[in-house]
Amino acid sequence: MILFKKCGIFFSVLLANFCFAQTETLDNKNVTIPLSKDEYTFVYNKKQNRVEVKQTQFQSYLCNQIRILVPIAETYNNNVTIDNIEIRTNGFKNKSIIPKYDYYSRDDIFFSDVRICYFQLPLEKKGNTGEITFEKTITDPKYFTQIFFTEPYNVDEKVVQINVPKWMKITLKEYNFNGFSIHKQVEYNEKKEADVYTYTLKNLSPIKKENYCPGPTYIEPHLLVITESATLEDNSFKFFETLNDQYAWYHSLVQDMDNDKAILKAKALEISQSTTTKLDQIKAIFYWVQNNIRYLAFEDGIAGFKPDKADEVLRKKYGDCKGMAHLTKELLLALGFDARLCWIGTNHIAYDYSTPSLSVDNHMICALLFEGKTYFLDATEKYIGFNEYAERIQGRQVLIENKDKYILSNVPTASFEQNKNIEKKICTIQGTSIISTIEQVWTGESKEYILTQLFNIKKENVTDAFKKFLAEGNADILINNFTTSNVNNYDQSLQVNYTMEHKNAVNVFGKELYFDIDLRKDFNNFIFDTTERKLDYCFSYKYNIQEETSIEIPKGAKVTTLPKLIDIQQKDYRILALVKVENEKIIYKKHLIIKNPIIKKSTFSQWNKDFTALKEFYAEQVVITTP
Amino acid sequence: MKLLFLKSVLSFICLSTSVFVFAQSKSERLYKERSEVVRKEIFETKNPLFSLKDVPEKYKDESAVILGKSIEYTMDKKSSRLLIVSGANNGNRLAFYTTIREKVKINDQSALENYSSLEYNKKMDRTRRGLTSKSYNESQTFIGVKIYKPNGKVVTLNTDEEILTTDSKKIQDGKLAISDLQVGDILDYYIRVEELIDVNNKIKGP
Repeated sequence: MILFKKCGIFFSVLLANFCFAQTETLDNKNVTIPLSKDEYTFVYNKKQNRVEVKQTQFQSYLCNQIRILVPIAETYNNNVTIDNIEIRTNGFKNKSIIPKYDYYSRDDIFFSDVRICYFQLPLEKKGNTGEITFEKTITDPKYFTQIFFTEPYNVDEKVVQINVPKWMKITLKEYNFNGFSIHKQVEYNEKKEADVYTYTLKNLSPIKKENYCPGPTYIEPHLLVITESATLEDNSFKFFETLNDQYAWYHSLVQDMDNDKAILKAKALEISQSTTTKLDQIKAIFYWVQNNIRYLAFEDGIAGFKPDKADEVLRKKYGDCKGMAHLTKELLLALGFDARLCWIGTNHIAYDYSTPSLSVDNHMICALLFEGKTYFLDATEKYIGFNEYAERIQGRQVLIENKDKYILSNVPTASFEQNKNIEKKICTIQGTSIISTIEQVWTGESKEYILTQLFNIKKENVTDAFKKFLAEGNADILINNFTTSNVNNYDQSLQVNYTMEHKNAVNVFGKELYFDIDLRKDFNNFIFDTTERKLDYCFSYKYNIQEETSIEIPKGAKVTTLPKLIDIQQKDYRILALVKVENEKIIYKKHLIIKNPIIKKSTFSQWNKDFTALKEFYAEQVVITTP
Repeated sequence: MKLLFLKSVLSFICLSTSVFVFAQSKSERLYKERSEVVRKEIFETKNPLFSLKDVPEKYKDESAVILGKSIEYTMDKKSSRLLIVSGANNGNRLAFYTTIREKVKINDQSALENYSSLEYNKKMDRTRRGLTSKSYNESQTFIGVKIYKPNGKVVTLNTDEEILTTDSKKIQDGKLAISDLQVGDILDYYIRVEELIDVNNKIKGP
């Protein structure tokens, strides 16, 4: 990105981001929230003829130790307004604190309508208090989908209240309440003329984010709000009572897109002109979109749900997932294929379409109905092959466009076999060096991972970077005769062939030669700190690492020590490391397979035991005695 | 009486709104006119620095090859003279133009990613206005982008596709995704920042 900024306004946004980052590391003991009260009320705005949700969010803060500036931030967007803010310090209104309003910048989103209101609340000394009240309006109830309970600081008491008038129909679904002290009460309040749902939580601690953990909807206590309908005396509104309603809204956004069919057809024909089969045509279109359309995420009001026109994506050569899916669909349609748009929630989200809500999905892909089979094409996965699926969408429910009535299906689940990382080595010992001839192959997401790294590197540095990667960054390793398969052909596996000279790989003590059997030592020291780690661990994809090494035993030499076999079969993973002597050669076989990429916290101790055994295997050396 | 008052208030609001909208549209119109002048000055004036159309053989395997680059600082003397006439300030009213232009061949995905968008402060107005005086401190940024396709086609980017991340009366921040940019293209872009500042005994240099 070419960046050219001269004035200081962006500092304030940076500051806000910094404050967020700081929040997580602050000593939570210094600030506590004695009371947090979040109240939501459905109201009918007669003037606008719409149902709105009024939110009053009150939070008190207490300084327990030393002076602190508490960062306060509240987001809003095209559908949510901040109507009023009241700031009190030590019981008095504090008008000297002026909230700032800015664009909220996120690295992974090119532009969104999310804006941020932020300021710092000064708590000058121990015992000082602050009270903040935000009044907000959600102008369309279908955007009111979730209520999360935890805060960045310890909360003594949290009260969440939802006032639902008789004319309003909603469903509240509770998630991750286990392990939290949550009291729920539902009663009719005559004064409010509403059913009041009250959730009271005591002694609530913040949830610390951990690397590679499940998405917040899997771990944080929260409510999924399904706003179904409103029936007033002289008016009624239908939101998402069933999935039909949600689909109807989605479908209304994608029909009659007024694409320039002629431009799209001309491009589709140009892309597929050298293909001979239907399947090749499909692949050509998919790979062209992968290669030529840059992914740029937009979340701008309705544009967050409505794809850009396909011919516009084609002209701009960039788009978000919706734009890329739309272009893929239209190019395929132009060639006579049956292609559809699909809405999908990635594995970051705990819900499926049994709960109609805008929070169920976060992604759009293209479905292709071809020769009795449904294929899913996600061109945002830049280096994955046709009919290969990224872990994040595998097995996920998918809502497929089908005129007035959707099709609900699932993306196929691929096994670890999709993601091969296979290394075959033939080695000889020459003095203190090991010389190897190596063939290495990657497929599926293993290939995608390597190619993503490679294409992020400047062209002139790619070969060196690849060699360094293969040499594990070891200065004693020289890679020669390096060749690769066509890195631009994602339809094939990625293959490299090379020779490796590993200097000082062999330690010689008298007549004995010592060396490590495994150069890469994958998953070495991959042990969970069970005292620190509180959440499940999620690998990005299923691993399938295989190695076959054959080392020629020097003439007259005898193998005196070999690392002991480990063969561990668990439900979620497999570890096999076998070294044997066969036909004057040392044969080493390794299989490290992660079948289920989510390692549950409950299995950490077994994992640690098994991977400690692997670590010990790696630590053992082969010993050969020469004549 | 009440109705009359209400009417007056409404008329005032309508008038204020229309004046504001008019001011906004006038400001936009002036910006566009100036933008066009800058574009012609930079893109339509022959500049031997940017005449190179092909990548020298020795650089063909590089990620991005800069075919031409210039950074130019100029001071507009005409604007400086205005100060003497106006007499509004004891210092100097200076107009500084900073122009960065770069012509670069995009040879791989990494370069494409690096040159895929522009982010800039489009307008900034920190001018202090008193009853009888005005102390200028404002700047405007103009951008222009051309893409030379390998088949000889030249695409001039419509900078109206920009997104304003800040859009207030005094500050505008812009963001522009470079459309139709692909590996193999030559990107020719400029960023011109025009500042008008009242300075007291301070001479700003590059």
